[in-house]
This record gives sequence, C-alpha cells and structure tokens, in this order.
Amino acid sequence: MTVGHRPLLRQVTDHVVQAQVSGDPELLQRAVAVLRAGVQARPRDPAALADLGAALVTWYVFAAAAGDLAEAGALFDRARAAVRRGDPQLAPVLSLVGSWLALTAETAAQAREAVRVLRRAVAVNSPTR
Amino acid sequence: MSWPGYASALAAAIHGAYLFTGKRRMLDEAVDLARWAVQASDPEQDHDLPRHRMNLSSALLERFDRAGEIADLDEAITEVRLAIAARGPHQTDTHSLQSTLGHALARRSTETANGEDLDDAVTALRLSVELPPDHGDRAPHLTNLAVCPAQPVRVPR
Repeated sequence: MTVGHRPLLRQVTDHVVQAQVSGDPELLQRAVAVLRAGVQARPRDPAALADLGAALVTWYVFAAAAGDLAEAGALFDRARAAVRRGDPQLAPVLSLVGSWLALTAETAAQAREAVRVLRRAVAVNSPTR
Repeated sequence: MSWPGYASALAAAIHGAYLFTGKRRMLDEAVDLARWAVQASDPEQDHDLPRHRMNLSSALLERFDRAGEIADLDEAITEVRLAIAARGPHQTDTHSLQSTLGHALARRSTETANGEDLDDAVTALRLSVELPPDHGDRAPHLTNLAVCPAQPVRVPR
C-alpha cells in the first residue's frame, strides 16, 4: 500500500504565502482573520470568498482542523455561485474552486467536473487569448 | 496566480480524474501539462514552482506505477528533490514532499537494488513524520514509513 503522494492541489493566495514560507501559524491565523473580515465586508465577492476558502485549506494543513475544511467547502460553493462570465476575477476564482473540487472529488463525475472548471480557468487566462 | 499555476492545478485535477477512470491518455496529458507548467515558470518569480514540481512528480510516479518506465521514476525523483531544495524546512508541504521522495526512492531501490536509494528513502520518510501527533497527515506518512522495504517500524514520538 502506498499513500501520501497525492497531488498537492492546494492553491494559496498572496495573503498566506508569507505564513507558508515562515511556517508561522500565528501569521496564518492573522491572514485568515483579515480574509474573514474581507468576506464580511463583501459577502458576494467571489474572490474574497475563494481566498478565505483557500486560506482555511492551508490552515487545515497547519492544524488538521476538519471544521475549517467544512467552512472552506461552503465558501467555495458560494464563490462558484457568485462568479459571473466575463468577470475579470474569473480565472483565479475558477482555479481555486476547481482545485477544491478536485481535492474533494469522490466520484468520477465530480473529478471530471473539477477538470472542466480548471480548463475554463486555463482558457480564460491563456496568454494566446 | 500565473498561467503556469493554472496549468499545474489543471494537471493535478486531470491526474485525480485518471485515478477514477484509468484512462492512460489522461495520465499522459497530466504529465505533459505539469511538465509544461514547470518549464514555463520563472524560478525567481514563481513561489509556487515547488508545487508545480510536486504535481509533475506525482503524475510521473503514477505513470511509472502503470507502465514501469524507469525514466519516469528518475524524473519524478529529480523533480521532488528540486522542490524540496527550494522549500524551507518549515513550509507547510515539506512533509508531503519528503514522503513522496521517500516513496519514490524506495520504489527505485526495489527496481535497481540500490542500497543508497533505500537509505535515502528511510531518511526522507523519517523526516516526513516529524509532525505533531494529532496532525491529520501524520498517519499516511507513517504508513509510507512502515511499508518501506527493510525498514524497522518505530513510531516517532
């Protein structure tokens, strides 16, 4: 049996990069607090929702708190519902949402849906567009 | 996020979908896309390059498991070593990188009977379990350590 080399699908935002680099959980907690305030201020902003979701996934890596993953899932659902075609935030939000869908896929259909979402993110952001 | 970042995330998702479908062409696409993401990244600018290397390494390991081409295993080991070299010891995914490296080296030692690979595999797998006892990733990494060939099982405290 071999476990533990599953692809790393986590995506991070600039807000949590420094916390990752330093390995400082307090820094990440502060970043989460800032992002949470952003969601409270802009509850329908897909980027704010997805950024907080990604930070909570990163927090899970630090602390393995399953409750954070449940909240992250709800945030990604809201982000996906809020994103609109043509929105300049489309690609980064789709990439975060797609990565979450891939990470949590339990069926082939869910895995294919994750691929579809991420193909959109790549197509939107293609340098040849 | 850069375009290579989107491509790397897509590669990982395609790899994940392959695990459900078993379609070889999906695995080849994941490898090609992940390799492109690594090659298109600027090592000076893209802080996610180690993650892209990890995604490539994982896809190559998967293809080695399926097809048995030692070149895939060699490239997977090279990529994950580069990812580790670029990471600080405290970064959040370092333990997963060490676990992947240990798994890959153990596989190669089985293929080639290379004792040095086995020693390096045990070292990497021991590093991978240096996590708090209640950390969710510790159990799978301990499993990798436990199943490493010729590795006496000692659970670090």
